[in-house]
Amino acid sequence: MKTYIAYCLLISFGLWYIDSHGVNFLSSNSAAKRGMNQPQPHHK
Amino acid sequence: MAAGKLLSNFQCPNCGSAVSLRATGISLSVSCKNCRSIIGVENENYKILSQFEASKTVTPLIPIGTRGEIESILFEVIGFLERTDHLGYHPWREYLLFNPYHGFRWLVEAKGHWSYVTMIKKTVFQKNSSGEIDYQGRSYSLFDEGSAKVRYVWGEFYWRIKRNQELVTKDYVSPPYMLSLEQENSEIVWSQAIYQKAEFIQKTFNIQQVMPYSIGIAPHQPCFWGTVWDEVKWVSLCFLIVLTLIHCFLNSLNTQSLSHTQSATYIALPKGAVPSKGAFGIQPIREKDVLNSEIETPTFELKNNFTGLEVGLWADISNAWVASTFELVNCDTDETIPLESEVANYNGYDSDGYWSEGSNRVSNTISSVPKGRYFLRADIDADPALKKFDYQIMIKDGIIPLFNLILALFLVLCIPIFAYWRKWSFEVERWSESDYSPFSTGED
Repeated sequence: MKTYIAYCLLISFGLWYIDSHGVNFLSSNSAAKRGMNQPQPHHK
Repeated sequence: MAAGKLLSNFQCPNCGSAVSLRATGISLSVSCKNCRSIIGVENENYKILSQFEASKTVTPLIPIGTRGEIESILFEVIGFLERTDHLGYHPWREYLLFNPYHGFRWLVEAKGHWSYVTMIKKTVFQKNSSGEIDYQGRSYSLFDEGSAKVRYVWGEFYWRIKRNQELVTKDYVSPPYMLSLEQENSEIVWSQAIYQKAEFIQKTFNIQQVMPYSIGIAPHQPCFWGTVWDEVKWVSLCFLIVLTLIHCFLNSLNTQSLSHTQSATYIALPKGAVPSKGAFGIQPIREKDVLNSEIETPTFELKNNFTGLEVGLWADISNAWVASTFELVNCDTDETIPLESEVANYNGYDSDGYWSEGSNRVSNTISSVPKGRYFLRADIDADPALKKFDYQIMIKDGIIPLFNLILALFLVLCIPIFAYWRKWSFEVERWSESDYSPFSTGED
């Protein structure tokens, strides 16, 4: 019981974290993938 | 009745062997170890009640005279009997326990499952509306009814036991408890059994032999996952509410600072036409030249740090596709974040009538975009059959996907769902041994 409550608290914290940091697991554009992109010259 | 004093030790009236009593004055019958005669000991006449076959020998797993402590009461095994159903196919073994201050209890072993049994004084139970009987706050369901007869006896007993003595039995279960009725003529005896682990019995009575292997599921065997389900179901419900509130609360705090829509018209020029010089320089020469295949949004500022950015693409097309490669460019660092989208919309008529698949609009989200100044560049590619179409690019920030909540709810629910499934499977297997299964379809 205590283990399950701790597990649920961890998930609650996780939801709060990913919601407040705009994380979307369905996005094809992950933070790790994004980090591989070097600054590119552009038209501006 | 002849007057006289009952002896703890006397001679068997049949074979003359020494017979000893452990609960003198309480036991009403005792078996002779040598000739298997059952001797009445309610008085000093020591009359033979019945005889079992001397050749048939069943060795009790717990020898007569063994002592063990259950529920802080020290008991001594004083009797052993083997019973079967009326067909003789399903035997079980019963050990009579005795304590001078607490009276009698039973240990019952059937198919390797053990029960600690106490007789109860209540003789009549009222069935509730569900056909169950209530006792001490629990509802018991009918599991089995049949008959039982004594096949083998060893030791002494508090009633006049007889060979092939047959009783009508009924078992009602509410795991880990079972209420059992035994009826002989008009005499009804109720007892309550509680399931015991074999390891506990082995340790309590210091049994050195290998314990009987447990076969199947006992009628009143507790289900581990049932206990887990009972414990977590309300907790999981509470956390479902908590997670939903967290998600709604953060959504309400997350103010949207950007909502931008930009429109353009894609025009395919005939092959070989002079490339036009647009706002972004000369278009590259392709198989066919196009106008407005690349557009850029004005610079915008994302005020919320680590926001979810939704990039949408809408195209006014039918039976064609449009794909776009987006680049979100940080004006300060020149860092780019790539994204790809494709719109495909097909429809028509066939023998089944009108059909359609795909959509004119698609949205993708970029996760955790840091705050700062950005612009979005789009490079549109389209079905070669398309000559001209309008399209729009939409950008919105502050996106908190519902999927996050769904994922969290799933993670919270997976344990109770698994527990319920295991509990259900366990109960189906338990009740498969019963003619009164609540899981039977009626066609079995």
